Amino acid sequence: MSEPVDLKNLREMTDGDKEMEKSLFQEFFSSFEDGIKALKASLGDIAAETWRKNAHALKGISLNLGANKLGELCKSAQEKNTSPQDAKKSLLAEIEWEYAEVKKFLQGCM
Amino acid sequence: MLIEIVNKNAEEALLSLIEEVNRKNTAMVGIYFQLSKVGASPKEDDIINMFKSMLGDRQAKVYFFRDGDILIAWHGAQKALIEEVRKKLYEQYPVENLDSYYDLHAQGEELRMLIKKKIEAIPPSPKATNQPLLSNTGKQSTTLKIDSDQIAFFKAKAKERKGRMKTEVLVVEDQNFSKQLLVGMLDKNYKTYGTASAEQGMELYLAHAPDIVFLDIELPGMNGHQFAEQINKLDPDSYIVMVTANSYTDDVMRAKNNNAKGYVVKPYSKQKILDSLKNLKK
Repeated sequence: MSEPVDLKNLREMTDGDKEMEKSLFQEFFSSFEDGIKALKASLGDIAAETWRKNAHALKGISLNLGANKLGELCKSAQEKNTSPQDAKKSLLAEIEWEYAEVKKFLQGCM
Repeated sequence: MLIEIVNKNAEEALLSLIEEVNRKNTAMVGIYFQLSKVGASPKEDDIINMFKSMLGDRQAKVYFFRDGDILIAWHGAQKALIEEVRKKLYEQYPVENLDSYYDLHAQGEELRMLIKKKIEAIPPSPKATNQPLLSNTGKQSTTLKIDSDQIAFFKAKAKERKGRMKTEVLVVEDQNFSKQLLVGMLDKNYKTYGTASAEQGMELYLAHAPDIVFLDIELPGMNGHQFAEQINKLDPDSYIVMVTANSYTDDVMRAKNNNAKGYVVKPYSKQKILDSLKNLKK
């Protein structure tokens, strides 16, 4: 089974600077957890655009981190912003599951 | 080291930061230094040099208020670091009782009141012409006003570009993680300014006339396309590279029409970013 995060790209950008990496991981946790809260608060039809924007933001940071599967799930959430609430809830559960994998992996790297 | 200088409308920018800290419930501390009491007005470079070693890779913001006071803020609340910063400032400005410490979350309201008083005390500028810089077009339309002093200052700064020893880069990206990643990489070799909003990006552009801008498209308030459109009108020598997680044809075409010089789809890669900088020098 492949790792939930491919850090090759990020490590090229940080030049292997461990402190910078650690600070980036912490920022990722904080941003992603805020984003999940925002998604939970925008499940309803009326907040479809807020849902889309938050999913888009989470997609961007996941891809920049190298968490490609998580990025794909967020991309799917972004595209399905007008789907029924149940479908969004299910996507959100998948995102939370994958995020937990990513977090565990990154914590192991710190 | 990731120091972001906020020297235009710093008062308003700090109010936004306090709001963000409270909304996100994040730990952030600030040391407010009343340099107006001693008539000191430190230069940006001096402040950066002063804090360079002690802040390490922390992302810090330094607000230069119009009356001469400054506030330095960073995430986290390490006591040893707070003492180190205070010590360094007092070495430079050896006058008693110049500083106050704020936990931006717990004491945000207190600081907000202080900053509001500062804003009320700012006299209106007689020279300001308030030219509208943005038309009300597009979904996320925003009207931004710049004054004639800012334009004159920008034109003088833009003339300095050719003689610069170090390329100056502006990063406009609302996602802290992505901004920190890009600024952190660039900061090692370039003079880099980072901000999360197009409005502050405009302030930084006018104040520093950067050689290149890495610009996200989806931003709160004014979006990246609107920003690029206005910069393109203001500065014929602008060099803007769009950075985005989207690759929609509409976005690409709009970027082209706004004279953007490049379009980087996330994830960032070191090579893609360095290629943009190489192309700038051609």
